[in-house]
Amino acid sequence: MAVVDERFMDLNMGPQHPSTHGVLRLLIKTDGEVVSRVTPYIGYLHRALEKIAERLTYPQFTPFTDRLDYLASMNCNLAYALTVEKLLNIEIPRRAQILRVIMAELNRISSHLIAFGSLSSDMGAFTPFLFGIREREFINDLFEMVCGARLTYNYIRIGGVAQDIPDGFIDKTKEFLDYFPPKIKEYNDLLSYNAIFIKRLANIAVISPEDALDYGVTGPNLRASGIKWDLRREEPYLMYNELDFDIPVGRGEMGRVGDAWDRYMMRIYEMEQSAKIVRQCIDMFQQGDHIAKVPKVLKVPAGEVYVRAENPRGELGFYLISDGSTKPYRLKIRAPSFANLSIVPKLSGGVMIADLVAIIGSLDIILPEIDR
Amino acid sequence: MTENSKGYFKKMLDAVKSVFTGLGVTIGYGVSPGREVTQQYPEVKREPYDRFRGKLFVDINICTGCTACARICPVDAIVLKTVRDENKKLRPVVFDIDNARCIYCGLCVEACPVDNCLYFRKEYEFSSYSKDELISHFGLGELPQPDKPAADRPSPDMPAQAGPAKDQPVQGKTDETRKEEGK
Repeated sequence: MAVVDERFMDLNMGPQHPSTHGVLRLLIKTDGEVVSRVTPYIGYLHRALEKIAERLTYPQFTPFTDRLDYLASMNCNLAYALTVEKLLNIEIPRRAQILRVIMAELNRISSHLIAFGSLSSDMGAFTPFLFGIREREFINDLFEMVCGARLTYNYIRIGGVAQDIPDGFIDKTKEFLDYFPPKIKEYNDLLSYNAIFIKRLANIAVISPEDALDYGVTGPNLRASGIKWDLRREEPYLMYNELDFDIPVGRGEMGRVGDAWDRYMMRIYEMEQSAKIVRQCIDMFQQGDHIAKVPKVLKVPAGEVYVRAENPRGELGFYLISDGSTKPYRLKIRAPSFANLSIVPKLSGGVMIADLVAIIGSLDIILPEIDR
Repeated sequence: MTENSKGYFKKMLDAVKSVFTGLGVTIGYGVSPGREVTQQYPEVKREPYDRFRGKLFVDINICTGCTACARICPVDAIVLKTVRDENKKLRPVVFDIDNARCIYCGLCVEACPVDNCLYFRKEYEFSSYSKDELISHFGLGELPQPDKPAADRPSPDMPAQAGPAKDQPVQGKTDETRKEEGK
């Protein structure tokens, strides 16, 4: 018979729990209100996407990448397209590159808006969530205009983008760019610099730079720990090397560097930067093709390649092995949220249960990408 | 002691101040809501944009039966069976789209070589109580057989499976059974 330690109680948080950001189960060993150990259990959304990729042709798999990180489908489409293009070795038309950057950055804003909103609702403030949704709706409208879908876009394709932009898209995007930046001040007044909110997040779950590197934490969570690492700057893809934008880094404004508040604030700063990038792209617009000439039956030369791109949640990588046929031989997906989740057990020894919610919320994980 | 209590009251004051800053934002919306963001959905319906990917439709009369859509579909939502008619043209006898399987990716629409043959409509309200109702049937059905095979069909000829014209009746039969199952 197993010996039961009566001091601790096992508690399941999830899989259906409002603050776990999807179907994540955390098995918590609790000592009263204090968490002594957390074990995440994942796999509830497993759809064998990597195996499905082996049974489909290269263009056919694009809609499945929408379903990795569904809050940032454009970025997932983009990373997959970049991977296949690297093996194909084709040149992407300038206009397609600009369109891709616009879509990726708009999607980054919309994804960070959800991160901002869901963290605030985890902390018990529901209004900011609705504010985030309100602005996201504007972006959804823009995407619906350009590709016809509001969540699973399937817009960025191998070789370029699916369709050229419709009339009125540029005007509407400019309208959004005028409308959005003042809203960030509203978020800051309402939430970011609220004393109660700061009290809940500052000095909670500090990730040291060493730990962040050890666990493979990427994206805003890594930058919050004070490491200036952004793939858009370090390994520029598309035309990011021509764009002028800052990479915000955690400075420990309200507590220590790499605490939950820093991670939260990274997203606010990045939204400003993304809006700036979109504005520059619109000025750079030029006529041209929206897609390169890609054969209808796409045979990718044999070889293997690993391509990574900066997603809103971190580094999304695709490791692709091709045997020269129309289907991938193997496609491995490196999901940023998976690595970001792995640091949760390390962070949550000895925290209160309510802080655990803050940890999950500030890491901004998304489950379909983890389980894939 | 006094230092501590001073800090305590200062923090309290800060908290109250920041709460009122936040309230300032929300009260502003209480007074003048600005841009309208919600809709009274069932009464007021928003018109989707032109490229909206709603329900798939097929103009079956201009379909050439090339099966490009069925081949590109990543989830096998399109079932397309064709036979050659008297003019040697491909006739889509079965063209079923399973809206429950469809992921609305739009690859089929792009693959379709005929303009306005396979297209998305702006229709987005088609929930149903059974999965069968979600299958849209567009197929033209079996060929109108002029003389002999048409007379053959209604008669309950069970051993007709091993009949002379092998492919055509079999195709027709699957179509018929599918339709019955569908209803």
